[in-house]
Amino acid sequence: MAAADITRLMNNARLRLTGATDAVLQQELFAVMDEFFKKSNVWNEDIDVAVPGLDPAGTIYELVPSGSALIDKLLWVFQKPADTSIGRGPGVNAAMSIPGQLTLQTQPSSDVIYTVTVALTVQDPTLKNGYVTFPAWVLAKYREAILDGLLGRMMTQPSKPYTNSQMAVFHMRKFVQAAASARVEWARNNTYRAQAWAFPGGFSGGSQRGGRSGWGGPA
Amino acid sequence: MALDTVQDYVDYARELLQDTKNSPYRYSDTSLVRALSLSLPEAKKLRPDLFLNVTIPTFSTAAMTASVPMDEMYRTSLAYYMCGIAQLRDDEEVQDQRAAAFLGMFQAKLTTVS
Repeated sequence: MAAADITRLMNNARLRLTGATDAVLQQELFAVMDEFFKKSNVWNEDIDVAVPGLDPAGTIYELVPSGSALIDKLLWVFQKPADTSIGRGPGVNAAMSIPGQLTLQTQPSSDVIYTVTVALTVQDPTLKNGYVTFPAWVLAKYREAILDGLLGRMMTQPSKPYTNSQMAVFHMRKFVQAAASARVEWARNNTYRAQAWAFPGGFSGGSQRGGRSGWGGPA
Repeated sequence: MALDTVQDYVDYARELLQDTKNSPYRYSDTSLVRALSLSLPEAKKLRPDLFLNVTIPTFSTAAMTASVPMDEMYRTSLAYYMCGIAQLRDDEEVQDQRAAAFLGMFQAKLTTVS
């Protein structure tokens, strides 16, 4: 996170929460970010998985994010095309019953690389100074939503100088609405009044059979 | 005077108790330090958030320079608790009122904007 952004967030929270300590703000910020990422899906990562041909059915492929993050949801899986001018290959049906463990509906007959897109959320450990780690652009873009979540959670704590159940409801309502808006924006790829995609992923060879649409969400 | 060490708390409590002249002291260092040790678990009961990742120490008169792990916004509350406990010892009516006032201020300082 950018230092200026987190300083602004903490200062905004401090001046609205009389008597709150930084340790508690950091504790609650972790919970706010976890809820925000799980509700909005805005933090994604593409992970390339090399799948050898003729692996037995049900083989588990471990997914490991590049940074300190926890995999929350499997979003979609596409075959990585050999041609670099093509963004995505055919879509692949896959599941992740345990977060981080990918299984394929059908094993490929030859070696392929799949690009697996996952939604991430925060995880321990936090930084040495106690702050949770997540991409800086999230705080820059959603600073008001995050502040509302932080204020709402802090104000629900019982018997504190900053306890305020009425304002807690107000701020949590704004936070939930903002997370829902963030999810819509993410689904539209942050494009104003537009679809998230230029043309369906299925156009490049995928199929809609098996209840799976050719479109895989934001590109 | 900032409240950092055990000695700082004892000195401040003596000011509030009007017990600054050692001839000898009305309240011994031992009893005030014991009250300080008791104050931290009481504060933790009211405000567990102030003690995240903190192990509550037990203080002694042998280490008066030991620092007291308390957020600076809430340090006076511990001194009020020390005074309240000290004044509970006296059975005169006026002291009972002051003891109740100090213990009430301890709680109010921790849980309200006061």
